[in-house]
Amino acid sequence: MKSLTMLFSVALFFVSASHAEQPNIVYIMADDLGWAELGSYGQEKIQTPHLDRIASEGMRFTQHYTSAPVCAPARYSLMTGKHGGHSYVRSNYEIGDWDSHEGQLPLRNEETTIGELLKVKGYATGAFGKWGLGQPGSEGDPLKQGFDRFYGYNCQRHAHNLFPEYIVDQDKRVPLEGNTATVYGKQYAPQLIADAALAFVDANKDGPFFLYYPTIIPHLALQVPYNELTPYINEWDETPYIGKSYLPHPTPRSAYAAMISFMDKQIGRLLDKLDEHGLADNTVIFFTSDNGTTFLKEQVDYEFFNSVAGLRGLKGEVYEGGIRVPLLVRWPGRVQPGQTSALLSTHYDALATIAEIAGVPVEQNHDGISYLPTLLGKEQPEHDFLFWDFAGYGGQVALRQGDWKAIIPSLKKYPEGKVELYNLAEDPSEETNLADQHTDKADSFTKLMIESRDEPEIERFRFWKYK
Amino acid sequence: MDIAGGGISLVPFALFPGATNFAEPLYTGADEIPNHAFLSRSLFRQRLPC
Repeated sequence: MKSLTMLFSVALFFVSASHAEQPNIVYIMADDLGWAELGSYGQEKIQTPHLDRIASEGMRFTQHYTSAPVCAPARYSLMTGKHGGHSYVRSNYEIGDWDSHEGQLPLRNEETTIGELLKVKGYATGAFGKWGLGQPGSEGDPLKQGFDRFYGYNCQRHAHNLFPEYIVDQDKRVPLEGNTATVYGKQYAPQLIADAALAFVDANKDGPFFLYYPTIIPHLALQVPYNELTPYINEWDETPYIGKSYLPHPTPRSAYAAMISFMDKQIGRLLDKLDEHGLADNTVIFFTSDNGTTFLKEQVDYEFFNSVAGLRGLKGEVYEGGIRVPLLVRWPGRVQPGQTSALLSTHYDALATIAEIAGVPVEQNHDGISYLPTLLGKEQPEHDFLFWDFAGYGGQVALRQGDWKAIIPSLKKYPEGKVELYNLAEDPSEETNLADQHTDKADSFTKLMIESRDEPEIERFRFWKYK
Repeated sequence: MDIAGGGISLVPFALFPGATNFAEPLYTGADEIPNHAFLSRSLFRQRLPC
């Protein structure tokens, strides 16, 4: 009996040890949330108490970047670990008619995604929110790219309404009664998506699980349940938005703030859920955004909210305001609370980081470096440089090395390009172009950018020069 | 103006005729959808940034 008890104890130890080696992983990505729209990044008007709690209990990164300043290429690079110069998707690329909801250019079958890597280690994998990497049935279908579970918007265009007529559950369109895809409806998709994400945690509480939660908030249209507006409705002067862009709203400032606070509230529910199941200590939570705040000022008053804290540029631009994004990481007992890191890091590091956390080798060629050492307080290998290759909004490239950053905008219109050079330590708002004073650096950065670019297979993504 | 009676100031709801009482949720049903031309589905289908 004693030996049996000992055997059982030893077995239990190995099961526990094995589980501890494979923590649950939650990667939350907001949609068009700006660099300074969280309290922990200086936001003073929008309340984000649960995300601020994550920041205080974990590490806050101050030099973290998306891979691209719009949705689809940012998501592609996140999933594959490849920067824009090596990625198959280098801008948004819509499939089908605009209102057909047939999705975007599919993620290729030969890519290895974060989901697929984690399946090797037995993770249950679920994606909840906006996919944007291929419609159901295509090779980019999340169910064919390493995810057991999908719930939300497969198509980015579909996600332009938060009271949609249907939602995608696995690979099926499920009608949402009471919704007519106009201003109002009965079923708020971000609520349904959050509920589905929590149900995924319930179903997989014995772990390990990977919860990829690319929420559609705060991307336009401005739509939020009325009761969520209450904290903000009398706070500020409002100019109703009645334009012909997304959807009108009588109080756009309140609506935008309320959407972000709604997102924060759902993340609070997730934290409570992890506590409920005793999973908080064995779960790593990442929070970031896919790109900077939208440039549609009548709908999102980015000056009023100081959304990018004086950085230059917004969504769609490779200036800092379009690409620098929050990154919060909480892992109780492993990541010391209340830390700040200025490590130069990017979304295309996520694959390497998550793979290292899960203990799975990465065979695919990728451009990332795991930032797990930084999280654990160990010596960190660093990028020689970060690179952006974005075929949208006129064709742009950028490279950051240390404090210096080179940008060449509008390359489709001006194919020869004129490089801009900034010292971000002295000029974080990229106001003073130093290219003429540092011609050697401007030339070497330009050469590095060209050497970092593979010619894309998709003709629409081709511009400027390739190695 | 305080239509809601709970201290909630009214925003210009003439623009949103379906939502006559701001104390009620704005999303209670399809019958409250304003009938403005700019809310038509054809306009909603215009190409907008993702």
